[in-house]
Amino acid sequence: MSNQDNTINVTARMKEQQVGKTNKSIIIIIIVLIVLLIAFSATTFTVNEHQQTVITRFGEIKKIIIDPDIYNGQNAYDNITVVEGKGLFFRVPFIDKVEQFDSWLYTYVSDSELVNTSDKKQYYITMFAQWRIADPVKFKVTHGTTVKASNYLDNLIFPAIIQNINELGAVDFISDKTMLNEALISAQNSINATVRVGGIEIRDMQVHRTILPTGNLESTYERMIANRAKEAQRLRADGDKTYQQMVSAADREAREIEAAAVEESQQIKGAGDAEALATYAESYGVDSDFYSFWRSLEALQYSFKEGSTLVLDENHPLWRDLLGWITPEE
Amino acid sequence: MVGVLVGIVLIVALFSFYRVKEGENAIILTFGEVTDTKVTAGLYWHLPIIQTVKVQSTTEIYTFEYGYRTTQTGTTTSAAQYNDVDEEAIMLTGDSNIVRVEAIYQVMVNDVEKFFYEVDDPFGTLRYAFETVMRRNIQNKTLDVALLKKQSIELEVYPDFKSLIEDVYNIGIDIKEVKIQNIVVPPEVSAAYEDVNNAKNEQTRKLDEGERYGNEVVPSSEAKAYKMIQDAEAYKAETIANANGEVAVFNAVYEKYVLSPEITRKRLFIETIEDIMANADQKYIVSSGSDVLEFLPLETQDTTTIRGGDTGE
Repeated sequence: MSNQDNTINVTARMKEQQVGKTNKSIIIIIIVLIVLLIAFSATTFTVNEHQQTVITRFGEIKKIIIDPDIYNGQNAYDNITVVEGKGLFFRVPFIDKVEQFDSWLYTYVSDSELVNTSDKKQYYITMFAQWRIADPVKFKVTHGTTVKASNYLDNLIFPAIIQNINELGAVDFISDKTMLNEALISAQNSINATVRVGGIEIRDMQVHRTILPTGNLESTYERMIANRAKEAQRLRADGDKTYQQMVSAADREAREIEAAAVEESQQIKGAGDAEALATYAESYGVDSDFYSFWRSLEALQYSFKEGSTLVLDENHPLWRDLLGWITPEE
Repeated sequence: MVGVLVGIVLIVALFSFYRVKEGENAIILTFGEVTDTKVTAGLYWHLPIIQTVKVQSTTEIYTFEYGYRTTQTGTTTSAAQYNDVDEEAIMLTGDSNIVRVEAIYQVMVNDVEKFFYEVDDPFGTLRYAFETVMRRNIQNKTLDVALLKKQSIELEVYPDFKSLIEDVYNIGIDIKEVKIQNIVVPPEVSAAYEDVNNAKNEQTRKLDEGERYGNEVVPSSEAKAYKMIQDAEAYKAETIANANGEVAVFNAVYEKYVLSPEITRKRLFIETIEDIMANADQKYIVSSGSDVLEFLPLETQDTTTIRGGDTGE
C-alpha cells in the first residue's frame, strides 16, 4: 500500500516539477515579448496618412518625413535627411525626438470684419481659407504649433484681403464673380509669398459671407419698402387711368352710337316727309285751284275749335246769299 | 498555459475579422499608412494591432440645410419644426437689396481616402464653400430676378459648387443636388410687398369695373339708338300713311267736284261753315252799316244785341 503511495507521490512530484518548468519558460517568453515590444516601440514610430514628421536629435533637426504631393521646401536642407513616405519608421531610442505635424488642409475662419470698397461702401465680410503645413521644418522653427500659426494667419490674411477689396468698387465686389476671384487670388499670392517663410501654404481663400452693417440694413429695408410703395402707387394710378380711359372710351362709343342713330332717324323721317310730299303733289297738282279752296276750308274748320266766338260780317257771301233769298227785292 | 496563449491569439485573430457592407468602402491602414482599399462587400481579415480599418459609406446621402435647421423632424402625427438661421439666410442682391434664402444640398462620399485625409473637417469645408457659391450667385442678381428665378439660380449654383468641391478642394465628396427651398423678402419688408399684390388686385378690379361700365353704357345707347330709329320709321310710315289718307279723301272729293264744280264748291263751303257755327259758342253778325242785326240765338241762352257805337239798351 505504502509503496504504491510512494510511487504515486513520486509521479505527482515529477509532474509538479515539469509544470514548474513550463511555467517558468512561459514567463520567460512573456518577459522576452514585453522587452521586445518595448524595444520595438522605442525604436519605431508610425507616420499616419495625414501626417508629416520632424525628427530632432539633441534639438537639431536631423530628418523629416514628408508627403511629396504637398512638400514645398524647395531648397533641400544641407544637414537634414528628407524621406518620403508614411507608415513605420525607425529611430534611435531616447535620442531621436519625433514630432508630428498634420499634412492635411486646415480650415481657417475669420471673424466678421468691416471692409470699405473703393466707392466708400461698407460691408461686413467673413472669410475662410484652406491652408496647410507645406514645409514642416520651417513651420516648426517659425510657429511650432498650429494655434500660433492660426493667430499669425489671422493678422496676415485680413489686411491683405481688405487691401484688395479696397481697390474694388462695390458693384464689382458684390456682383462680379471674376473680379472678386481675381482680387482673392492676388491676395492669396501676396500672402503666400509671406507665409512661405513659415512653411505655410494657402491653398484657397474665399469670402463666404458679405452683409451690410446693421444701420445700413435698416435703411436698406426702408428703401425696399419705399420702392414697393412706389410700385404699389404706380399700379393703383395705372388702374385708375385705365378705368378712366375705359369709361371715356365707352362714353364716346355710346355717344357715337346715339349720334349715328339721330342722323339715321332724321334721314328716315326726311324720306317719309319727302314721300308724303310727293304723294300730295301728285294728287293736288291735278287742280291747284280746287286744292287751295279745299285746303282753306280744312284750315278754317281746323282753326275753329269748340267754344270759339264767331263774328261774321253781314256782307259775307254766306249771309248775302241767305239774306238775298229772304228779301229778294229791296 | 500554452493553451491559454493559443486561445488569446485565436480570440484576437477572430476579432480581427471585419465586414464591408454593400455600399461601403474600407481603407486599411498599416502602421498608419493606407495600404489597401476594399470596395466590394464581404468578410475580410486584418492583422491585429498593426493594421486598422476605417469604413465609410459611399452610398449614403448626406443632406445639409442652409438658412434654417430642422429642429424636429416631422412624424405621422406632428409637423416638422424649423429654426431660421438668419446669419446664413440673409443675403445681399446685386442691386443692394436683401433677400432670405433657404436651401439644401446633398452630397455623397466617393473617395474614402481623400474624404478622411485631404482636409481636417470635410463637412465644415463643404458648408463654407456652399455659402460662398450661394451668396455669389445671389449677389450678381437683381432682387426681382432673385425672387423669381429660383430654378435658374439653382442651375448656376450647382455646377459652381460642384467644381469648387470636386476640382479645387478635391475632398472625396460628390455633390449630388442643390435645391433652393425658398427665396423671399425679409419679414421687415414683406408688408410692402403684399401691398403691391393688393395694388395689382386693385388694378385688375379697376379694369373689370371699366369693362363693366362699358358693358352698361354702350348697350343702353344702342337701345336708345334702336328706339330712335324705330321712332323715325314709325314717323315715316305715319307721315306717308297720312299723306295717302288725305290724298285719298281729296281725290274722293275731287271726283265729285269734277262732276259739278260750282255746286260742290258751295256745298263744301256751307258744310264747313255749318261745322264751325255748330262748334262756336258765341256768334255775331256784324253789319258794316250803323245797325247790328240780332241773330237768332240757336244754342246759347244769353244773346247779346250789339248796336254799332251804342252799348247797352
